[in-house]
Formats: sequence, structure tokens, C-alpha cells
Amino acid sequence: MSVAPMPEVEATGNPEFEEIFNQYSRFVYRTAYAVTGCREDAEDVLQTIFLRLAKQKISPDVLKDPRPYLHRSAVNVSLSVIRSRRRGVNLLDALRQQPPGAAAGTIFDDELRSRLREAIGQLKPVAAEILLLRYTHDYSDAEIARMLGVSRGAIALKLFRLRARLKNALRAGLGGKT
Amino acid sequence: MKHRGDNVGKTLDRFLREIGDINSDEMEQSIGSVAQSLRAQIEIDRNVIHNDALAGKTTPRPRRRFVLAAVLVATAAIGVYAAQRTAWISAVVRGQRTIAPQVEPASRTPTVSAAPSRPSERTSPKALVGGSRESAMTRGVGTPLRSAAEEIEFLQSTDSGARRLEFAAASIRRAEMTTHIGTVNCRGVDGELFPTPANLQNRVPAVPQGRCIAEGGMLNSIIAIAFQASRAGPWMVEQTVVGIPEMMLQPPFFRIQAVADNPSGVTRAELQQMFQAMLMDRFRLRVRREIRQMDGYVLTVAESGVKFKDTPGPERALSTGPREMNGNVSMETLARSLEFTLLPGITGQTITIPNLGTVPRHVPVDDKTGLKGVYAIRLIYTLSVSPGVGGGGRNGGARVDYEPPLPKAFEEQLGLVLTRGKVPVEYIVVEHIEMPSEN
Repeated sequence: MSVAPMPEVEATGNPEFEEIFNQYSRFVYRTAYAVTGCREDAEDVLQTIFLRLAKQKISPDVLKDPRPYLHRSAVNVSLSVIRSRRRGVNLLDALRQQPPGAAAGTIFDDELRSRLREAIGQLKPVAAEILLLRYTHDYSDAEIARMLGVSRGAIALKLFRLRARLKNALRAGLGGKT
Repeated sequence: MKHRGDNVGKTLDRFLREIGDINSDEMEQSIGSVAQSLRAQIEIDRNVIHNDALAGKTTPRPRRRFVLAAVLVATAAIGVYAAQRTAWISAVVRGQRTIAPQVEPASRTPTVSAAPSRPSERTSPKALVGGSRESAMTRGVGTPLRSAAEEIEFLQSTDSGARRLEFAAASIRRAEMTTHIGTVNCRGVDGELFPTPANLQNRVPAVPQGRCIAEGGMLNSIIAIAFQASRAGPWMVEQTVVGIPEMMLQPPFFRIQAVADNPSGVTRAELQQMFQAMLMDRFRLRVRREIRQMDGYVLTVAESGVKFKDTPGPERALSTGPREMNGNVSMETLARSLEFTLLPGITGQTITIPNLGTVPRHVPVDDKTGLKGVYAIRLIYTLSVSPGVGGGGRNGGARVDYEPPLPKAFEEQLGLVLTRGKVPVEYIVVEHIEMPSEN
């Protein structure tokens, strides 16, 4: 992923933090947006994670490869945001969930999409992490396995089960409509 | 039927790949906004404002606390032993009985306490307002004030936490929402903590002098008033107080009645400190302040200069009607009024507050005019209210249109420019809160 420099976070007095923010903020934001489906929530998640990072001494492991730490934090914080935050029906939020460039989705598609987000919100953090790495960030099974320190077979099996579970959630939505 | 059967797998794949897709411009805008907030927050953290600091209380680390306690116990034990050995205690007691009336009122007394309820001394809450420690201690009617040196010694000798301002009595109950809008406010000799706008004064009950009340108050309103998020109003606080568990925002809401020990003399700043102390004690509340960037408007002076005059008199509430807005106000008050009255109608965005319904979404305004006086403001317009989709507004509320449009009216009639931009807004983030303890 090509990353443009972000001059806004210069001069914090912590060059390591600035570098991590400039390099990984988009990665964290996309993860948060995928889970929450809302720009404001994704901004909150991004701010929470990097604020936490700014306040602590960054460990050598994180410095070596911040991606696993940031992704796990993004998933955990996003899940807690959507679980704790009550949201009324908001047309603007619903419109924001439309993918860019796509034709105006049908109400039916919107319902399915919202059902899918609901199902993702109920996953365990590790499961949600694997799912997002695979589908939002396009990582291969092998890359995910390396990142999480498990075997490739375990990831493939987990993804298979996750897909089955999410398909059931979608089918339940379809069942009510046909 | 297009999603049936095997298509479910394809639909799932499509949705899974789409959920993280976001317009890259929007993403860059969001990240830029967060970066600005982070930079501001890191600056703030260098001068961190914490509850304990607000209360003037410090919390020693457990190890330090243990060492401190051990030293105190050892010192007391040695003291008692030595006193017994020398029969010093009985001598002192006998001596006090005979010489006490001869002690000069202004003499140094090492056993002095800061407890406000102590009958021989009365500590004015003013002593801690705004962090100042002016000498406000008296010894009852007709007795002289302490000298400055004695006051300094006293302040240094006591735990600063003991000087924390507290209500004389406070009751917290849960009650169903009443018919009026939930009210949370305090009233001191210098006015209300959050001045009620003129158009709402007949709709919300007045707060008696020297008291803080919350009638049917939601916790976010209560915390916003106590910690005064810079732009929080009692009816639009969902955006500036965050982190309260969902279950604590559900009805029944809270009914709080609290009174200061000197209702006729207490100021609103003192009441606010008492309100904070009560929430920290009863709700075990811990909060921190955070600056976030919100979409809003920036108010500046037009190149042509301002077209209004300053007035010598005090500020008068800004009156906003269907045809004009007028009043003698500062630019700061004008900006706050715009946030709550004129601008929310333009954007048509709303938020939903349980038991209250849908209200216009707060639009922050940053006053960058640099004008410090009080000015005679008069703006003439006509407004029309139009229903939006679904019989409401764009989000279920009404949308208001102004003629001429507000930015144009501001520039032409007042010489002020109203432009869209990011505005720093102070948020109160709740780190810990529990259900309140019994009365």
C-alpha cells in the first residue's frame, strides 16, 4: 500500500509514533470502518488507538512490526464501539455505508448488509480479525497465519467456518423476504 | 430471488469485500482530522487535566501509600510511648484547661482542621475557586482573620483534598421522566451555571439559589454540566460526553437535588466544583478531557470590516425570532447562539435522545473574529420550514431555510464571514462510572 506522508502529526516529540501513524493510519481506519460502517466511529477508533500508543512507551515488538498489534487493537476497539453504542436509524449513516461508485443499492441489499455487520459484530475478536484481514485487506491465508502465529490450515478452517456462519446469517435475512 | 441458493456465497463475498471500501478522499479527510486532534491532544496531555487534579486531590501510588502509612503508625506509636514515659500528655491536658482562654485568637494552632462543618471556623468555598487560595477563613463573628503567613502555613499543613468543596446535602434518586425537558443546572449568586436561553425560560423549572438540581436528567447532561464541555448544552450533549455505558442512559433517569452549606453566598463556580465532587464520590466517576475536530463553521471578520457597533452596556440575551435576531452580545455568545439556534436548522441533521425524541444536531462554531467587546447585533431574514423526506426533515426533523441564506446575510448585514471548516470541540470522555451509592 502506498502511503503519503502526513505532516499533521509532525512535532509530537515522538518520531517513532509519527512514523507509525503516517504508515498505518489508513490500515487502521479501513479496519475500523469495515467493522463499524460509520466514518465518525472509524475516526474515534483511529484516535483512541493512536492516543493510547502516544501515551505509552512503544514496545520493541510493536516497533518491529506494528501491523498485528494495530489490527488487533482496531478490531477490539471497533467491536466494543458497536456493542456499547446505541444507534438510532440514521439515513445518512445508511447512505454512507454504500460502497463508493456503486449504484444506489436496494433497500433489500442494505438490510442484508446491515445483517452481515450485525453478525460480524457478534464474532469473537480473533475471528473478526481473520475475516477482515482476508476480505478487507486482501491478505492470503499464509500471510494471516504468519501474522497471527498459527498454521495456514487453522486459518483456512476458521475462514470456512466463519463463511458458513455468515451465510446462515444472510440466509436468515433472505428467508424473511422470499 | 437473486440471492437464493448458491448465490448466497457470492453475495457474501461481495458484501465482505465491500464493507471496508471507502472513498479515498473521505478517508484522507478523516485521517487528517484525527491527526490534528491527536496533535492537540498530545499537547493537552502535557498539561493533563484529571479529575483528581480538578478536585485538588492527589492519589499516592499503592507502594508509597503503604510506606507513608507505616511511617505514620511508627511515629504515633513512638510519640505515645514517649508521652506515657514522661507523663507529658496529662501535663498538657491540665495546662490546656487553665491557659486556653488566654490564647491569642491569631496564634498558630497546629491542630486546625479544614472541615467546613467545624463550628469554631468557617472555610469559605471561595478559597479554591479557579485554583486561587486567597485567604477566606474566618473564626466566627468578631474574630480577626489569620495573617497571611499563618494562612500559608495552614494551607501547607493540611491535605489539599480536605479543602475540596462539597454540598451540605445531596440526594440522588431515579425517577421516570416528567413532562418537561430534563433540566440540569446550578444557580449561584452570579447566575446559572448554564444560562437558560430566553426562549426556554418558561419551559424549564427555575433552579433555587445555592442549589444544583437535575430533574429527569440523563447522565450525559449531568456530566456535561458538571464538567462543562466547552459547547455542551443541556439538550444537545450526546456529542460531547462519551463513554457512558448504555444501560445507565436508559430510563428511569436521575433526580438530583443538592444544596450548598451557604446557599445565599455560593457562586456558580463553587457549585460546579461541588457538583463534580458529588459525582466523583457517589458515581465513582472518572473522566478525562479530549479535543476532537468536528465539522462546523468558522466565524471571521469580512475584508470590508464589521458593520455593527460596540455598546457600553452589559450583555443582553440574544433573541432569535422568525424575522430577526438581535441583542447586545459578545462574539463568543453569538457563536454559541448560532450553534444551538440558527445553524442546526440549516444542516437538517438530527440526533435522537431517548425519551426526548429527535433534536437538531449541534453545529460547532469557532469564533475567530478576535473581537472582545459587546456589540449591538441585528440580523434580518425570513425563514421557512420545509418538511423533508418521510414527512420529517432529511433525518426526520424539519429543515429550515433562510432568505437571504445565513452566510450571505452575515456578510452583508454584519460584515462577518461564516465558512465551513473543522472546529476543535472539547469532549468529556468517561473512563469509569458506577451506579450511585445510596443516599
